[in-house]
Amino acid sequence: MNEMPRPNDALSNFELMVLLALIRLGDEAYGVPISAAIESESGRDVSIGSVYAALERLETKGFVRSALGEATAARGGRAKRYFEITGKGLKEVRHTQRTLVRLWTGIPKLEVEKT
Amino acid sequence: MNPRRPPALATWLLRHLGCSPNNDAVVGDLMECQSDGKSSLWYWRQAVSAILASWVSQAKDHPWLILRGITAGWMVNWAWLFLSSVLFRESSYPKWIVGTKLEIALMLALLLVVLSVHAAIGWVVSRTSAESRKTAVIGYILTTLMFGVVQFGLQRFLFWRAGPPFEWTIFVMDIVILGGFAGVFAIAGVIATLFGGGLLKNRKAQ
Repeated sequence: MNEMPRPNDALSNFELMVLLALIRLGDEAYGVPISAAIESESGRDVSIGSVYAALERLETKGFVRSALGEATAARGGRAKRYFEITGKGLKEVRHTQRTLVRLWTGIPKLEVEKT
Repeated sequence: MNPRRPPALATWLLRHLGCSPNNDAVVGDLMECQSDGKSSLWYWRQAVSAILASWVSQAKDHPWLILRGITAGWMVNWAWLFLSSVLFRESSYPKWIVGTKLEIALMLALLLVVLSVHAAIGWVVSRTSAESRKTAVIGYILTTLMFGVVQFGLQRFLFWRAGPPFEWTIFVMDIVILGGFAGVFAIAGVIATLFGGGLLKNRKAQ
């Protein structure tokens, strides 16, 4: 039987999108590419501030870790903050995926119509 | 305006009012996007939304700390209002001062005292709300502004209800002139509170 996550550890829809973007981007995951990846896949405007708010919550839960990167002139001398998913975060993404797939299957209304 | 230069006011607001632990990284990210061709409007929208997101996040994380700071601020505010109502009664104001230069000097001194009290309240809110100080100071300011607007509206309503026969021109002038004074005074109070709360300090980028 799968271990159930604590209620506070449950991922919101947006937090899940942020984690998936992090996994896709690998070593290049900081605020700008993360919000760009979510924007391009979801087709919605994403605020960089809300991405950071989600990342801070995920870091508190132990799902991501961060480190300061290089500062550039284009950034007004400010360093980038790179984020990386932790083992605990990866486990939580897998758990959420399994749960969603189980909930998805067997619902006739959501099945793709064959042409 | 140079489209590649980020709006200075938006950056200033984000740096001083944003309370994310990654505030410098957020500012850097916005500057990077701006230099890559994003518009000033986009920058403003992102800066405002980053400030709001950081407030909401902090309010969710430390609601009691923020409430403690705002309550402490209001307690000092009420103590000051009570003290000032006793100290600055009409009867304690010598009549011979009226119309002299000393009256102007006294008014300025009083204004300085009031602004110092606002700064002290900002300091108290900041000290009693620990790591949530920015959100607590902003929260305190918002509650005082809301209180001020309601108080002003009620005062003018009661004045016009019991006072002279209603006339639109005089009513508009009354609201504009008194509202203008109250607005200037409120802005000065807000700046003093932000100063006392340590939100106007200049911090170097990481």
